[in-house]
Amino acid sequence: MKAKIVQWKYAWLGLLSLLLAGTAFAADVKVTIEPNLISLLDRAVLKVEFIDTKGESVDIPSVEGLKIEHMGSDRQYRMIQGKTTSSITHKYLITPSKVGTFSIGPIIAKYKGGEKKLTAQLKVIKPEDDEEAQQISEMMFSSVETDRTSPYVHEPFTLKLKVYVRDGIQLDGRFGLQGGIPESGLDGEPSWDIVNQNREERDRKIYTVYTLTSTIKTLTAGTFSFRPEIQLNVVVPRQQRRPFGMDDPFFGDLFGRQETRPVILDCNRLDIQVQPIPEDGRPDSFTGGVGILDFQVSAGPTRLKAGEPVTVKMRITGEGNLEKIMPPEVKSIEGLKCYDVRTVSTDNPQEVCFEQVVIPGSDDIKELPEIAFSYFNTQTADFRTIRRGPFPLNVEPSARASAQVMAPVDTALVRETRVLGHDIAYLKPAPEQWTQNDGPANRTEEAIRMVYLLPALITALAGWISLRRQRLANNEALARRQKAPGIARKHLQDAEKAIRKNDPAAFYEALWNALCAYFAHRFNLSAGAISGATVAERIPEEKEVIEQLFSAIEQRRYGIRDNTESPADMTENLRRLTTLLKTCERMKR
Amino acid sequence: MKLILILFGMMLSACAWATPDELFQQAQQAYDAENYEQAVEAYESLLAAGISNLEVYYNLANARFRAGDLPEAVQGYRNAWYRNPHDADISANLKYALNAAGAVEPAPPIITRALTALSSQEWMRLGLGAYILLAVLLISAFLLRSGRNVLFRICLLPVGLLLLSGTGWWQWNSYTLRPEAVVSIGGTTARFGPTDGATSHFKLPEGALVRETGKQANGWKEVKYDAKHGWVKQENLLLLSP
Repeated sequence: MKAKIVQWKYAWLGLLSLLLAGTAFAADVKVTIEPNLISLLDRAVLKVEFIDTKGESVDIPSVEGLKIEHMGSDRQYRMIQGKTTSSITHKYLITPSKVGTFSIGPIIAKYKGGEKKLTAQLKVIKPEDDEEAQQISEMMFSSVETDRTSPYVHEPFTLKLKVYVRDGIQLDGRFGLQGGIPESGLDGEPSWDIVNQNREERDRKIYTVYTLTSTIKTLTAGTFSFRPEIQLNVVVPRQQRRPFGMDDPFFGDLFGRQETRPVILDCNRLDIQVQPIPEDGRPDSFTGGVGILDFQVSAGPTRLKAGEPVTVKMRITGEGNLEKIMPPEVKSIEGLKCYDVRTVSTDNPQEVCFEQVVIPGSDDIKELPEIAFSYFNTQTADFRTIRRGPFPLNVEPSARASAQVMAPVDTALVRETRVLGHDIAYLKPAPEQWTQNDGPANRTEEAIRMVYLLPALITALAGWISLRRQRLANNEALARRQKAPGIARKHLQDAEKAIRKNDPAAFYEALWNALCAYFAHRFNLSAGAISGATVAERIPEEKEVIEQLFSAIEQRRYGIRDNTESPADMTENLRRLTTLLKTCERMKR
Repeated sequence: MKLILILFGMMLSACAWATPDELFQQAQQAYDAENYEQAVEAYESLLAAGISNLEVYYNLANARFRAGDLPEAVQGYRNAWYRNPHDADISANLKYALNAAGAVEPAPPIITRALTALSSQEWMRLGLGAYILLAVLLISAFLLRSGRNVLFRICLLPVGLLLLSGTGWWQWNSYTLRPEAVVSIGGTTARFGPTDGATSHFKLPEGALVRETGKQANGWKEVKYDAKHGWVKQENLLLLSP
């Protein structure tokens, strides 16, 4: 027995050593680039593979002309000739921006048990369809320019962005602006529109030129730098790509022959020095207008009684920051009540309109004073003042000498004035009941909240009753089925009374009625159709009891058996019937 | 000195033990005697005691208006208006105070005006009444054996009222989401951006009633006034809430 155990021990040790030999590993790190020869419009994948060891993603030294991005990692297990190997591969997408032979490295890969310095080579050649291009920026680039190099705050100026694409390069038509626009200080987001597309020769090469424009306004003075980053999607024929499968995240359509590759274009930097509106020489009537503007005023009615309103309508037109101009106003003079100026909406984007209501308090007012509007003229770089008026008025004396408080009402567009009275309304008397923040009113609200569901619950109950009633009215069988226990109960009570009176005839009549009525209702049959066989056929589980009961009752009812029975026998029969009915009631059918 | 302290203590205890009716009476007497500061104090002590009747808000606003405190008067009238928007005195005095401040009266669209014809509480009560009526009608329709179709048709009325009261309630809720505020400092400038260096847009008179349309964590609020939008520092505003 002992010898047998020793034999098994050696056998297990042998098996274990075989398994260990199978999983024996040699940790290693490899760096590969797939493919290592690509064209300028293509990309490659650099792989750092840790074999039979663990390794984190490594820092790839930057190489001029190549953009290297980490794509992620994957893990693989392989069994070759009984040996199990595992590997972790970190992948990096390489996007070239110029032609040449590039050495990537040294890449320092640390792993459990060592460290390795590795390098890899990548050759980038000119694309087949553009033999001259040494860099992507020679094939596609953009430039930005403006019509005003030093505009003033709020002065609109135009940015013109030209996108050059070498003839033969196919785009998928979408332009995207990735950034390069100041994040603050601009009045709204710039909106770019493609206004032109033409072909242009530049350095003896033909380009398709897309021209985009945007109107910019700034809210503050200072230097604003623009270097728009335009992203294009270049369509690259699939045949140009080397077959490196699904590694490329921009893998095109699965069955198509081409793919799109996003390229962000180089662009010059445009610094625009926005000047503040000068403080010197700023007139008192300057209300923020900047641009080339005009100002018109009309007032009416000009014949009126003292205390009646005159509406002064002001209109500013031209090119500039119209929506930012604060309204000029009629200067208040003695005897002339001036109300706030209001903005009146207009459909014309080249104008802004204001209205002001003024009320001459007496017939001493012979004219409305002149209204001055000053703005900063960006063309002449100075302040200009436009004066309108004075406006003669023919004011007749009014019967009401006292001043009235006028209030503008209704919408901001349609104005009217209304006499409000000469003073505020007097105090209110003490309330009949004091309301506390946590007083009865709030407690009532709490109570209401608590019983809020009650009407809904009662309604739901009524709805359920109504539905049930309707169901029973439409389904006679179901209605009778539900009535069956009640009817049987009534006859069983009669039977109990008969036992107490010791009246076997009445007892068996009541038993028969209970049996007959119950099963007739239960199976939706007529009372005449009820017999032991009919019921036993429907409830075969209780066949024996049913047949015995029917037989016993029928024998007594029809006088086949003697009708003189003791109360104990009757009670026993009643119990058997009650048990049967309860059993039947528990059955689902 | 001792005597003064004792008298002061007695006054304090008298105030502490005064009933709301007595305080209200004292305030009214002070107001009639043109002692508006004292009237304001008495009404404020009622509010501090948890009293929230609109009469207190209204009378306090009147006392503040007389005391020359226009922004707080507008605040008081608006608070009273929230509680009873169809009270003619409150509306008239609010308009008067806004006019006195040289401020533009809010001009909401006709639907908003219709929905604020009833207060939030009144819309809730109407909704509750409609809810109970709907429940009674439905229960009757379910349980009565005849006239069911007529009852179901009548149910449309409380359903409509429920929807209307829900809309009214939502309108008032919008005042909680985008509250109103009163400009508390004269010459407040609304700017185009939420910074001190942003360009001025328009001036707001002291006591102007504005509506919040946006806010920033740095204490700036975007407000709407006379159909214009601009940014104002929160410290220049007295916030209102229905």
